Amino acid sequence: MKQAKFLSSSNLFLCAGLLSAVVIGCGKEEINVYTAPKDSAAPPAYSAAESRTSPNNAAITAPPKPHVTWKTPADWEDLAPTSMRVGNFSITEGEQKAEMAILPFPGSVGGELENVNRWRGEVALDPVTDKELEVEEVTIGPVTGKLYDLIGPKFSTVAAILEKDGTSWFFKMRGDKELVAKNKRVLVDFLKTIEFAAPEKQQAHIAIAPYAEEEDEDDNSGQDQGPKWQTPAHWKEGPPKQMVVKNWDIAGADNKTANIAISSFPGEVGGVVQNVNRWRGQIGLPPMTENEIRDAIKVMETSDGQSEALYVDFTGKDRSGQPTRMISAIVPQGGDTWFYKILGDIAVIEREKTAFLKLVQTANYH
Amino acid sequence: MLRRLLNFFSSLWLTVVLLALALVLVFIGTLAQVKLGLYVAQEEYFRSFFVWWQPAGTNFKLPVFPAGWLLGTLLLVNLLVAHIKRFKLSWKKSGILLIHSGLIFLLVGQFLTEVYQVESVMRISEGGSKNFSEDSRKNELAIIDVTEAASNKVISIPESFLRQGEEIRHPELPFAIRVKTYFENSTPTGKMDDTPGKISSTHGIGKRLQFAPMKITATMDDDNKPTALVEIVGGNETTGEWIVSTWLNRYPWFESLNAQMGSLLEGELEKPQSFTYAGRNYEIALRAIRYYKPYTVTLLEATHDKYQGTEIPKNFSSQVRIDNPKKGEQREVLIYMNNPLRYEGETYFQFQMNAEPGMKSSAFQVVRNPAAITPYVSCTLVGVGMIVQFLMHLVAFGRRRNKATPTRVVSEPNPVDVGGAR
Repeated sequence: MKQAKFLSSSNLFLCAGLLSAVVIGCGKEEINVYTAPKDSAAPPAYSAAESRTSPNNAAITAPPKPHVTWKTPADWEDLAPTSMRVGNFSITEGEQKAEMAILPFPGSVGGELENVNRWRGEVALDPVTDKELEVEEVTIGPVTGKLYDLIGPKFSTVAAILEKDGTSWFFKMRGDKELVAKNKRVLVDFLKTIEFAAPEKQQAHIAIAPYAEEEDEDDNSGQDQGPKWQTPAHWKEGPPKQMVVKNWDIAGADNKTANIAISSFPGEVGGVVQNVNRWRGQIGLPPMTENEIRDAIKVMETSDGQSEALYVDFTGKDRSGQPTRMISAIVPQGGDTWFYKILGDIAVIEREKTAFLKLVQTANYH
Repeated sequence: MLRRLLNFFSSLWLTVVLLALALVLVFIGTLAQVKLGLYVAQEEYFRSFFVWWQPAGTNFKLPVFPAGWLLGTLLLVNLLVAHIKRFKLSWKKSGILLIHSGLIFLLVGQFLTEVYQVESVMRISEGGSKNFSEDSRKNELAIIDVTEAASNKVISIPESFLRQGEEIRHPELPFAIRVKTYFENSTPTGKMDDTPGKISSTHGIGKRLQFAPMKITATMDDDNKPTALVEIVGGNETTGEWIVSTWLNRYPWFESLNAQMGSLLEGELEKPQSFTYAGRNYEIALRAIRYYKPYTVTLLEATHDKYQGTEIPKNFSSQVRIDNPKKGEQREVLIYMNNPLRYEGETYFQFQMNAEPGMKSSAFQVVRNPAAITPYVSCTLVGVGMIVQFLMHLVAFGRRRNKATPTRVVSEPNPVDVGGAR
């Protein structure tokens, strides 16, 4: 009886009326206009190493980036830094040429042995095992790093590696054997002048890694005839595909195949992590964390010495559940980014890996 | 009519029904967190008047269940009306009255907190300074007029205005902003990616970096990263299209993107997206809503102690300096866990810390809550009410006991009588 009274229609009507009033009274978000101080108006200023300009030109803090300074030896020519090289030098003597680069990378980029063997391959030396690795100690500014003297039949590399504050620094001189040998002492002295300096010091040569100054994109003086690649004869060029610059089909035993595709974008890339995880998704692998990807990434220098290729090698399964392998490389070149991908049968890719990596390394973009 | 209204709102039936509905709401609201995540479930089930349901394939929503604010309001009205109706001022009822006043104060205070509390985060690198905090959840499309040398004029457009096809106009804006695309959640991507619906722009970072829509996230360890493609239109002419995204400025997404892409994009990520219109210079960004302060906080030292031999945090503490030029004040304060800084109506709690060498930073949760005092007042009122009630019962009991005592004394052996017997 009482319940019926409580739920009477007039009561409910009253209740609804009251609620409507409450709901109507509720505020709505509005556009606000206000005056905000400029960056400089926010005292006290903090170091440039720890600040950046946000898209709205107000100071916000960000992790500091590694900085390095040096004193260029007299016989070395300073070249403009590239997107990967914070220091870039050319050494010439008569017909002989060598180059020296300072390259910072986040994390350990594959590890010591992996990098040294890659460098050995570049000067036509066979890979070595961990026990066979010959290392010298070298002073790099205030700290001690490792130096590797890799003397090949024609070309040599002298390179130093230093891991500092989560960044792997490569100081790498490569070129004609005699010239490199002659400049080894100069490089060792040069490394002593390295300073991992705060940016406020404003020394003669200062580079902020990994952000290099913009490169001159007009180097080719309008002689751009399109990129060229060295490919083995048995790779069969595939039909044109949307967004693919070039592609090849490779046949293996038992009708097994692999396909290589090259794409290029004017500086437009989705991020190493997103791309690597997208590739992993294509072969049914779960995404990796940023740190895992850093460990999985391998680095190799392109043969023109102008950039470095990052590549990953994964084995998973295709849509039909068949085991499949993929090696994908990212090469920043000038303002563009080039993507290389070989995808297909595990055995075919194992056979073609060297040729694929050579394709990536020897690409001529001019 | 009024009597009927009073009867309804003072009814114990209403209390029971509301409490039962609150029970059900808590149950379904808790279950909803699995799908919606904590924040969205809180917003939809507790920080609103109704739980709404949108029938599939339609644009309208129907209220299907009373939500937290409605139940709380009705419970408050119920309690108040019951009091008004049955109120009798007497000392005997003072304890109960105080307890109920405390409960009413708690309900009102909690409602005010829900409506007016602003939570934001101030993140500072060691040695760095900040004069603003950023909203933990809400974003704004900021159009910043940077022409004047002294200060910037910010036109802050709430993210809720960014709906596809919307044209935003405001008297302070000499142009209109057309929202061409809006993704509630997004990911940066390249041309290689064949994700449908990805966008690029004619100006700014969108020329080099594309964005694709992503499924809205509900997990606690992720945020939605909204992105919009907007066109600046003055009269019949377009100034261009820009992509704005919290990927380009919100912690930690910007830092993550910059670490991966910074060098490949040759510093483009760090440049503000700017344009000129009618001789004035503007910058555009989709960013966390900012709350500027008339003072600056500088992080002098961030300390992250761990229990010896373990990675278990023992103590986070931040030595900060407050510079308030208006008050001529400059002082140092140590903020650590359970010891927040209360300054200018805001409370700074030690929130997060990055202890990596060279990257040390500290984040403070900045809470502005005009109703912060209400729980203390309510607890005091309830506590005093309980003490009063207890004491009144104790006194009444004592009185009753005292009244009973003479008869008992008479029955006890009287020393005089005993003596007399001797």
